Amino acid sequence: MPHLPRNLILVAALLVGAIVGDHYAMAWSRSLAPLQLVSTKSFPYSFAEWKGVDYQTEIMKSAREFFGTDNFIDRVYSAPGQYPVELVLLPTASGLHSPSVCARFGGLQIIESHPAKASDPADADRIVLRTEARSNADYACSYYWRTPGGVAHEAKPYLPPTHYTDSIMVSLRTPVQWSTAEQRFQALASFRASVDPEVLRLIHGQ
Amino acid sequence: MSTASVSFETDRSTATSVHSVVSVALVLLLEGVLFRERLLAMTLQSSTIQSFVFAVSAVLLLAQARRVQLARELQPMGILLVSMGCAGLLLLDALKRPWIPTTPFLLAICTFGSMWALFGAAEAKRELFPSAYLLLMTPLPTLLTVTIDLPLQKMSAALAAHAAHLFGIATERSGTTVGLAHSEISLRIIGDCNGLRSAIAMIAVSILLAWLLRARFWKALAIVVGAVAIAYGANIVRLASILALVSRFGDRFVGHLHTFELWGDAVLFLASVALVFQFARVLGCRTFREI
Repeated sequence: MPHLPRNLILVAALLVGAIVGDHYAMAWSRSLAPLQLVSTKSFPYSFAEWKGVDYQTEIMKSAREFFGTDNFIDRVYSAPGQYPVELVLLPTASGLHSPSVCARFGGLQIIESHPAKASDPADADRIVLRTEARSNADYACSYYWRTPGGVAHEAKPYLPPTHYTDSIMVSLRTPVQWSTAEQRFQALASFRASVDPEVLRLIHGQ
Repeated sequence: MSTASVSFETDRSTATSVHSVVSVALVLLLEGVLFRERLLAMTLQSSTIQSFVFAVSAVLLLAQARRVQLARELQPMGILLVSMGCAGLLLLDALKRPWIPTTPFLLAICTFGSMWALFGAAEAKRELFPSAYLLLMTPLPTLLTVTIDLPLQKMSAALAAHAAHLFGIATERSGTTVGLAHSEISLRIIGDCNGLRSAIAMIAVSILLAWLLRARFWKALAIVVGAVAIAYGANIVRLASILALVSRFGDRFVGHLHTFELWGDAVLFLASVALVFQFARVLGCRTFREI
């Protein structure tokens, strides 16, 4: 039986060493992103006067494949006398880009864009999406990234998902219909006041 | 005389080419395990092209290994390259900066370094293309795709509507949506349908074809550019076909759209590859490289 060439032994040893080392390196880096472990599925279906129904379509199936995780929710909340609000919650480490990126990819037009003030944690990035050419098919969308101790807004230059703060992305969307975008953003801000404490509870595991 | 000729050759082990192939297979297996999570993360979003490039590279590496024998001398440069690739990977992962787009680069460095270490510098040149081919797994920068996706979607919608008109199908286009004039059904061109992904796939296929056909640089470039044009043409044919079938069969066809896309895409892809091959022959590239 021929002896094993030492180059092969050295290369194999290096690769095996790297496999073991990388296993621990990845495990350590995962521990730096605890919000990945938060199960969004436990987010309540009802809070205040709002009641939610999971959004179940073919798009959701492809979204699961795209994100590579099932750990997100896409739920439509409704309340008496209010427009419905679509809520998306996703830990950022799962690899979501911002809703404005996804909207463009999905063939939606962004007809208005209002970046959040970085200094204002109560602010949110706001966009108006147009699904068709008709103005009555517009949606107001506001979004932010909730961290255990605060809020992050969209990074100015685009960064890979791993560069986002360890957080849960909160995206709110509601139809504009016969209202104005500004009025709808106010309604979303009101919804946010109800939903944000629930997101914080989810983060802190209460 | 024979002594002089021997002195310029790398000292080879007596191992047969079977050992070379087994050694390359072992290295590829270990690399697969090492890069497993990153490769999974990459293929989750664009499985077809990344998997294709990875598989082609592995097959070429193994095929080329049949023709070379393992070097007996220590190959410090090869070992250094493998070490650099592994160290880069460990560093990025430990710093929680996996930067998935760096995966093909690190994988290519590791692979070529391993081939160098196994076969020596001179013989490792055979493995340069298969190793470098892995770089085609690199995803386009998101900033770029975000910038060009929507214009490409609009262009595809406009061309598909125009192509449908040629077949006598009345359409109304608005942005990325093409509606049929006498139907409620409309087709929205999303990011996956704008031809970019098929163009990237055809770039990978055409580069492989150009290498296999020993095309010189300018001819190889022409083959790649031609392949991109063919990919976009095929995408417009696909979209126009869908419009024509929806116009003819309405909801009955919509129910079978997924099946049509599955088979239609496969047929169009094979037809596109055949066209690129014919184009290469027209350019005078007719002889395949011996592998």
